[in-house]
Amino acid sequence: MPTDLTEDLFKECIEQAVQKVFQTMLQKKAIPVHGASPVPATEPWHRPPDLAGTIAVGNVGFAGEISGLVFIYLSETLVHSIVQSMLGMTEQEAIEGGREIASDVIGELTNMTVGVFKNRIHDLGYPCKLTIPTVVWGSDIAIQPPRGAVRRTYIFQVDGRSVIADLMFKND
Amino acid sequence: MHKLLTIDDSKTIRMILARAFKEYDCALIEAANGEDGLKAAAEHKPDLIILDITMPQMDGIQMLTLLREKGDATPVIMLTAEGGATSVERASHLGISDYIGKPFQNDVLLAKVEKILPLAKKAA
Repeated sequence: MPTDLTEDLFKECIEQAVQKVFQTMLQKKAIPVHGASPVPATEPWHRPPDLAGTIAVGNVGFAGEISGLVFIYLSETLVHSIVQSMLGMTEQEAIEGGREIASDVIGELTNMTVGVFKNRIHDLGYPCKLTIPTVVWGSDIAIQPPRGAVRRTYIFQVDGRSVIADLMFKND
Repeated sequence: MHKLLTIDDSKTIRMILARAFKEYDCALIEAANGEDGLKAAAEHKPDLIILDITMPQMDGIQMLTLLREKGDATPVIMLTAEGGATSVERASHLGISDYIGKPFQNDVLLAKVEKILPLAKKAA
């Protein structure tokens, strides 16, 4: 019998996923900012000031007994730091690698994060599979949830910079 | 010198693996999807394959199925974020030697490879 997926359980699953990936692959701590509750879909989505400039948004979907999407938002500055940590590059090498390598790194980071999240909810009785990651870049990106989708937004701090995990799922 | 074939659509993962084995006396061959992986396996006859599951064109399970149907018994370690019981079970039936979930630490990866292939460090 599947476990009921409560708000607290979703929050726990996302937090564990983000923290595990950042710690294992980057040796960085991801500290949840909104500790008590995520930003609900009915509230305006206020982007933290450090995500005001160019950002990268990685996306991976999950489909099965529960279906949805997870978007990971990061500033371009944090992306360069992540590329350096993940690939053992210098700052100059990470910049010279450009958007191509940065997109691949963020795509894989998102893939791992949603993978950990998905495997956890699979263990709770909701088997599902992952989609292939996509990454978009821009300075004014707004993602609207599909009609009828539930949206929960979780904010973390990594090296003093904001990382957002934006979860949207069908509430069947 | 051992030959390792890494099959993952993520260039990031292929680069991380290349760094992990940099100090060891082994040759790394890369492929970005299952189709290219099959060709590389036939051409290079690796001693070990490190294989992702979720890839475009041909995923890891399809690739492994075709590899085994050809009678190729090369040891395979699955390295994947797709850690669901169904995928792992299907891969196990196709005879994988081990499985590593993403995210992973290099020392865990190296320990699992060394159970299958002895790794020697490159001479200084």
